[in-house]
Amino acid sequence: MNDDHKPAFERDVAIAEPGLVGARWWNRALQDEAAAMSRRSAMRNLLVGAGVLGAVAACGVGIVASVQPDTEERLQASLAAQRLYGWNLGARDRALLYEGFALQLQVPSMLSSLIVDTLPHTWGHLHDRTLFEAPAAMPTANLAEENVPFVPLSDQLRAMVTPAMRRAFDVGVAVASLFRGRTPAAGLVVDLPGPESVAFAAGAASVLEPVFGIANWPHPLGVVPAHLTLAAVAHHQPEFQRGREERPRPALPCFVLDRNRLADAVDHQTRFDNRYMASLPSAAALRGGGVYRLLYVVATASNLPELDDLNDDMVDLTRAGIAVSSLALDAFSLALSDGRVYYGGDPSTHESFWSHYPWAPAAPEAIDAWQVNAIPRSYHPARRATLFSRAAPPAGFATVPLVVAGASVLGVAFDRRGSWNRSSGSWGGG
Amino acid sequence: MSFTHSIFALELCLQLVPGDPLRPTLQRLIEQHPAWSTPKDKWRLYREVSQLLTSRLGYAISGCWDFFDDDQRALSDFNMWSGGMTTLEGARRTASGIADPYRGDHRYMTFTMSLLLQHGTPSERAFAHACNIAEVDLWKRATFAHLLNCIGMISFASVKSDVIYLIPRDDTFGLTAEDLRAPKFEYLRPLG
Repeated sequence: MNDDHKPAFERDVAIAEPGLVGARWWNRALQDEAAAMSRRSAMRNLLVGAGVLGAVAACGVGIVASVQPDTEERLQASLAAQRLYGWNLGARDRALLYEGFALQLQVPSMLSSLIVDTLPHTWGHLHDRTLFEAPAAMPTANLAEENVPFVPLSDQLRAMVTPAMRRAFDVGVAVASLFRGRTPAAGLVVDLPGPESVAFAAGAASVLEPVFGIANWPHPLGVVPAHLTLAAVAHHQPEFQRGREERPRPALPCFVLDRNRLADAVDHQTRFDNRYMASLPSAAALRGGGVYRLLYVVATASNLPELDDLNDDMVDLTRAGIAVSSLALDAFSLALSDGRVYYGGDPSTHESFWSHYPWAPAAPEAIDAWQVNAIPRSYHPARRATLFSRAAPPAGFATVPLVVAGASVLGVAFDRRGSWNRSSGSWGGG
Repeated sequence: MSFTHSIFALELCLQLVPGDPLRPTLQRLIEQHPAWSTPKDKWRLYREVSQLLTSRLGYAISGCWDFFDDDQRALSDFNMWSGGMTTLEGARRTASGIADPYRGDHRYMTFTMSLLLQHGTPSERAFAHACNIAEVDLWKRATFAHLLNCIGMISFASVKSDVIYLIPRDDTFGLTAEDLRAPKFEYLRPLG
């Protein structure tokens, strides 16, 4: 076996001419191994040549058995595997890909306070900080075949903002302005793509308390781009920090979910299944905080009804007397007069939100936002058969296939499967 | 018989941008890589080279890559790529001077790497899988970016030999557009 720390490569050619600079190295350890294999092969050929023909078939089986690894695949919960072997297990050499306007974090040290800055005062008992634990998490075990040094997620994390995030933030600010100084006894469930949910919550954070319900970690091959959600949190960390300090207490909750959490079919051969199922607090937990209504926030009305994993909770909440309504972001739009975002698209229609959601008195001068009448507001969750019921999640949901040999965990199957059984071939050209 | 081999080779031709540290950085990486090195040192070298090249793919005008897991082909191709360095085949023998970009005059560099891999090891198989690229995508910058990114998955304990070279070493020996039209560079494909 080769030792990664032992010099094995020896340079045999080095060229430094004005027109070219280059070098070639040989791995002496492998050369020795190849020579030893040649000698063994020669001896085996000699034996066969000596007439041990009857043993050829059995010998062939023996060779196959010794070459085939004595391994099996074992499914493990993805998040548990990430906590154990590192956030990027099986793909330590892969980089996270960002979209939008991604920047190196200006103050990376702020990341260490991410957990505190997003911790709710009022609703802390319902807050899931899983996502925020990822940047600094260190593995406690190593995969036997892992040969790339571990680098914490914080080293690859960027702050990111996209046009969709900017819009969601502006709507969050507008919603906060509606809730400021009112007590509508309502909580929000924001179910937008992760970065937009985060931006919305950041925009509303001066009034509504963000309560995160994002229970997965990023992975370079993840089907859910959780790193983008985290990058959005990093971008909006100052708003979360400021909101936490300035918000009145107790505050109404803004439950933050990632709508990409149930990503479509996962090919475990090539992708890491970092999906998760969300849940909502019970009616008793909501009432305990003075919440009797839920506003389910989606991008457009076409995103209704709720995602599959929330169906049971929504129905149970409704039956337990929690009124559920829906709010689409496209009910808010930019006013030409001042460039800000309002309900109905104008300062004069903004307050009519409370006519449409009659949980608090509207300003008497408010003009009805007829522009948004086509967007459904009433919402009646109905029980339906879903693929993503927590009682019976789909087989293999949020799991990673690990390759195990005896007591040793070698690696992740997607790193290996698909290549071993493929016939030899070649690609490219030259 | 001894173990069999696979080969991965990649060459990029990039425009030399005055003041850009790409060429001198690559030169330094090659010249300063020790005569004796560990697989980890090698991994770091190729990782650094790959990241540098990826960051400048916008300046790449042509390139070539291949992966073969046929033993004979791997061995003969590796000799061919090595020969490209030892015979100075692509390098200029005389200076071409400094380009004048304001007159549409440019200089170019090529960077070449070739790895002779031990066939059948987990990292070689995983890398082979990564090289399974659709025909229509073979000569796209995105594919080169993907391949450069995937070099990180190679365990250099399974690499038998590697050759790496840069043309030119000196700025005044950059390749001209006319040089690149010579038959010896026909294997370089325009990138999409």
